Amino acid sequence: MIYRYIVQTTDRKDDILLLTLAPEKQRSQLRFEPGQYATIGFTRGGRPTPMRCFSIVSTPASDVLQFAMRVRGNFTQVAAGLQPGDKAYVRGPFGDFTIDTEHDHSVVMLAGGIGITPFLSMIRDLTERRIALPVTLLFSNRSATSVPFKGQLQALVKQNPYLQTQFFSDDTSGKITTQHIHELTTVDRGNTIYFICGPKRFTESMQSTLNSEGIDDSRVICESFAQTASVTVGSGWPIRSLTYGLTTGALVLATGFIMALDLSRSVPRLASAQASIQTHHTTATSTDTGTSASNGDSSSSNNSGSTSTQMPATATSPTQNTQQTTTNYQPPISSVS
Amino acid sequence: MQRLQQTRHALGSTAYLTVVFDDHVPSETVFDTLWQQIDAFEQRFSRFLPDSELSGCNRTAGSQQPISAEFRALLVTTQVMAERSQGLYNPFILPALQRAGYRGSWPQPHIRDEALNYENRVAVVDWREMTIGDTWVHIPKNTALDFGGIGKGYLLDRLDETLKALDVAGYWLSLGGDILCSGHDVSGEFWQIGIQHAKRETDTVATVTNHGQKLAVATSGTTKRQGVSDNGAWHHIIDPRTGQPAKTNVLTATVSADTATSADVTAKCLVIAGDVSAEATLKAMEEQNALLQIIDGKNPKVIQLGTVWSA
Repeated sequence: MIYRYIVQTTDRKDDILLLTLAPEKQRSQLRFEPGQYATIGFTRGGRPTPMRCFSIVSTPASDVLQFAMRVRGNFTQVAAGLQPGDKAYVRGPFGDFTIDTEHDHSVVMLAGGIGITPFLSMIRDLTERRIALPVTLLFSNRSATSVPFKGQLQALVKQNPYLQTQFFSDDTSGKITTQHIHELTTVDRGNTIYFICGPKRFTESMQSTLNSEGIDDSRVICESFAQTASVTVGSGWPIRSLTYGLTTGALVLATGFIMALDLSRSVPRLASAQASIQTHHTTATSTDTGTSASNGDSSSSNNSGSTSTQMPATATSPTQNTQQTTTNYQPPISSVS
Repeated sequence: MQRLQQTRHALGSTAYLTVVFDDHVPSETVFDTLWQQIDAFEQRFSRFLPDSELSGCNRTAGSQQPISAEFRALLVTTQVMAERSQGLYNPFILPALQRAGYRGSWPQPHIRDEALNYENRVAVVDWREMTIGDTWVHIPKNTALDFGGIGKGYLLDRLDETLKALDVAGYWLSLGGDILCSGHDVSGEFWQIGIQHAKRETDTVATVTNHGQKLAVATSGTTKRQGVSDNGAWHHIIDPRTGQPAKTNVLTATVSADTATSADVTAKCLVIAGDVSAEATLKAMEEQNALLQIIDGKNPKVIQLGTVWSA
């Protein structure tokens, strides 16, 4: 199934692009597990681009879908040039590079460069859902001055008492070694699951390092990360291999079909498609204005509080809490308290 | 007429207050009154606050302890619920809960405050061993009380009493996902409460409508407030019969009831009881409507009891 999204924002820092997509229809959006990836494509000059695989950075609870990528080729250049309101097509989710929160006792994440993306989704999700799962992130980059999402990760460490992170860089602290893994992963080592995501050379190096530590392959899950394809190997072999083979075949067929379909649609209907986008925006603006007007009546209430999606700092300090009149109405949902 | 919503963190979770006001009702006064009531409840009944009345009571376990009228009222309610549930609800599970791993205030359950540590006390005792006088309570030596299984529901019923006196057209309140509603929205439509999917937080599996009446909907389960301690994986629903986290096939249990207290307690009892005993437990709790999401492969199986649930 193809999910239709609208580009909400494109945030670029150095060569890292964070792409935020909003669903065209709230009821039709991608459902995924943290750590999974999806294929995305756009239209350029009225013609569809190829679809490429990227790990999802956002969490399942989020209203938007986020992807992060290093801008270095034609496709990512197109992505970097997208404007709010542009169309995007998403297909997925794919992969089982995911944490089993019901059975995994502790997790070590080994990330190289932009391979941090699936881990960001996992960590955000664990933090938002307040899952008490010990997580150790070892994050390796070429330069200490260019660490994607470092600020966000440091903020998550403050919110999640079960998360510890260690940053490595080739120009300062050096690479992740056996000794680092041994020293930083002391909790329940016998039951720890190791996730690796990064460039091929990084992944191979980490696998070798873990093997030399005597860690069984069944507890190592790798995402051989490249911005054009993702392959997971590890405990699920050979079933995962078969799954990926079939998935890849399906993807190739689906991509061809979508390209042909979008080409046939986009040429004669470009004008109407543009009008559709314009209509969507008008509706959203109208709704927001209505909500703002409604809440403007109570603007004297304290609006300095944290948002409802953040983890409570503590239940023992009610004086630190400040209420706010919400700008986005939250409908009543009964959930586990 | 306007609908206003305020949210903040309270009782270790997120609280939403949504109220529909006629134009003549001062909304700020209403919200202030409700938040003050929530704060006062937390100050009095939190197990994480050393100066709370509950902590004082636990410190002096084994001797007769003077208590406030509010404290007494809640204690009496715990006895009613414990009797109705035939002991599946028991307010004496705090030592067992701490031993399992839920020691500190969320999100830091592993942090142990020695002043509030009851792990070495008796895991669970019979709820009937509590004696309540007109102005005092006696709980057995080496025991400790916790209102975690009833507090949010009980407070919601108290907030409902407050709102009834404040002449509002409708409201729904949520304390960590336990919901109480009454009246209607600004459009005149009744409130429709979604029941969250046990595994996908953005999905709902059913809805229930209040039809203008007071309606409480509470969900309990093993999918949140869980973790791993030295003793292995734990979750926060303690089975008083074993003193351990409940071994159950129920991921979440949702109960729709006339009072939030009953909905809250019954939902927890259903998780402990499991799906096989669900109908009997529901009947014992004098309730009729429950929705269970039980373990069944990758996606939970949904079992509806009663007639209020819509797809």
